[in-house]
Amino acid sequence: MDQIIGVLKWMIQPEFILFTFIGSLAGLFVGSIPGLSVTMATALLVSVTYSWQTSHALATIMGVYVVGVYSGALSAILINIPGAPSSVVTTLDGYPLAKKGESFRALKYATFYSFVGSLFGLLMLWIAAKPVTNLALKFTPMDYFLLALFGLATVGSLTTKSFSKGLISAVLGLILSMVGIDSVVGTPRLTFGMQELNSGISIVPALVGLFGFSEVLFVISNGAADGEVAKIVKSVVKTKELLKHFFASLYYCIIGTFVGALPGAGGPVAAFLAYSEARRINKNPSVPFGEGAVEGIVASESANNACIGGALIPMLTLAIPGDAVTAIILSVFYVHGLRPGPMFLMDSPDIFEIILAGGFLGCIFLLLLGTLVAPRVSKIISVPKNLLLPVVTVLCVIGAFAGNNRMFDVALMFIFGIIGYFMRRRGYAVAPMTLALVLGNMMDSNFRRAISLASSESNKIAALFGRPITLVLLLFTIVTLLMNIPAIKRILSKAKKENKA
Amino acid sequence: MSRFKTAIKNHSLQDALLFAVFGIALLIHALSKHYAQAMPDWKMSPYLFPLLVSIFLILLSTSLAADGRRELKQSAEPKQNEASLQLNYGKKVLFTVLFSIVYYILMPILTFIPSTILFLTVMFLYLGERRPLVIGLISVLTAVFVYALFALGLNVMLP
Repeated sequence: MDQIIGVLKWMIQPEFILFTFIGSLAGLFVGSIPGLSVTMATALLVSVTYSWQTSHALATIMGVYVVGVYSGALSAILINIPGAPSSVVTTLDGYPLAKKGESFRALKYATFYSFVGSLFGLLMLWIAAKPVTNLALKFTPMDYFLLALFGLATVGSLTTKSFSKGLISAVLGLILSMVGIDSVVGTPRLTFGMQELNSGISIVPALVGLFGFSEVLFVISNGAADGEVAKIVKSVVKTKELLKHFFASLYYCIIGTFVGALPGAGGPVAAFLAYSEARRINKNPSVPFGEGAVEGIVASESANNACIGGALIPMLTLAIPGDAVTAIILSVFYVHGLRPGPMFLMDSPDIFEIILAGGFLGCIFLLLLGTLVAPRVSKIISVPKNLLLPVVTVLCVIGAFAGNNRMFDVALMFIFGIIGYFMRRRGYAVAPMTLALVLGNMMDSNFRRAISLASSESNKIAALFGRPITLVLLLFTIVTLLMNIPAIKRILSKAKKENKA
Repeated sequence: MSRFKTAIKNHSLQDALLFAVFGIALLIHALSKHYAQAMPDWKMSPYLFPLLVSIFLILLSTSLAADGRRELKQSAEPKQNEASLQLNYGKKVLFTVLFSIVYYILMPILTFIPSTILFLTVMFLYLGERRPLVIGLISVLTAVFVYALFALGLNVMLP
């Protein structure tokens, strides 16, 4: 009850509302413009908000996160280019519907069910945070190490077609996270005599480079294509018709929240899973799937927005981010001196309330902006990329510089941007690298702590892996690694085919 | 000989080689640094994790090489059109990076606003914008707005 009052208290504070609104508006613009992502916006925001009050910073970021994930659907529907990776599935039915002259209807469904998804995910975060925290309190250093390893293995398997490439991206992130003064012994490591690297690679310039500058280079390399924007003709969408899919959407929300809570899986995977479930459930959709079925939009948007709450569960309770945006939000926490993890709910209950309040306000702004502003957003989507990309580059430079006021960070940002560009070109996802950069130090120190604790025991293996939680995590990690080895995958698919035959 | 040429062009094989070399270099570095310590003890050594990660990277590079071999068995040469298109946009990326480096070098010399106006003008022109008024307005307004927001509003000490 106290928590409900706490959340409501934040939600009625004018300043808090204003900052969430600013974030939501920024999320609407950034998310709807193809080539600019929520991840990029959040990464840039870290450097803008570092000097702000924590509540204002988190309110803005939650606004960007909630509305930014939704607004990817706008360009997906209007120009067939998803504004965010999680909106890829929305293009399948959203754009065909827009081409039929029903873009207003498509937007209405996307707005409403994004709202339902976001709200559901945040409620799940509220409900699940405490039980997960209670479990996390029983974790040993080895459990933390294995949990992070499991997260990286999952990210590696879900973000790229090749498992090896996903894991290599994570390993590169781990190597980069080790640069700097060692947190256990206190000696410089992998700095090669460079004084600037003693404090380690700053997360903010690395993230701005990986998601901001690399995206600029990637859009330029793809020819900065600007699609044709579908016209929006207002039409009446009856509430009864809109609510017809409500209960089905709750099912997609459950999928979204669950997938969101898995480290690394995120919106795109959730949307694909929900879409395939929608195809399975709806034997008689309004029109066939892929030709403008609203059921497809409902599934995709409910699931990818429900991921928001899901991804925040492991981030807040275990300090393991669920996706790239939560990895960046984790760095916001560190910048503001907060420590997510099992003690977070006890140590900083007010921050938890701020996140929930920011998220819920973000949902309200999603509904308002989606209803009032989104139909007029076509002008924003068609901002020429040749004007937009140089301005984004300047923002990346400022974003990298602002944190520590040093030009070295700008150089780091450019280097990470170039690395990110080449990784994308060669089919390596940057999300595993981001997660590894954030988790690397924690993994390293926990691993050594676990080894050190076990070294004094007579049975070292039992000391390391003897507890049920550790065994389960070890099993999950091994299964994830094994199931993604190409040879084993081939054997499994062969066996599946034979069974079917 | 042609098989060798095709193998060299395969991205997975190129990457596998690069990461294997990187992994071996890291392994050697971790071992040499560890044993250079006064009392080498792996338990708490700062080089234990780099050592394990380097071994993992070497293993992954062999897995990537296997992927490359599989691709070679199934693959066809990249189409010429695609290759020339990639070259064209690769050039654009190269120039964008070069302009950014020049911007980075000039910023401490010219200070933020002039260097940003210069960078934006050059980039707009390079990316195909030809309207002088639009170029001038957006360059100046962006530089001044960003300066006002960060330097005056957020107390960031811009160069």
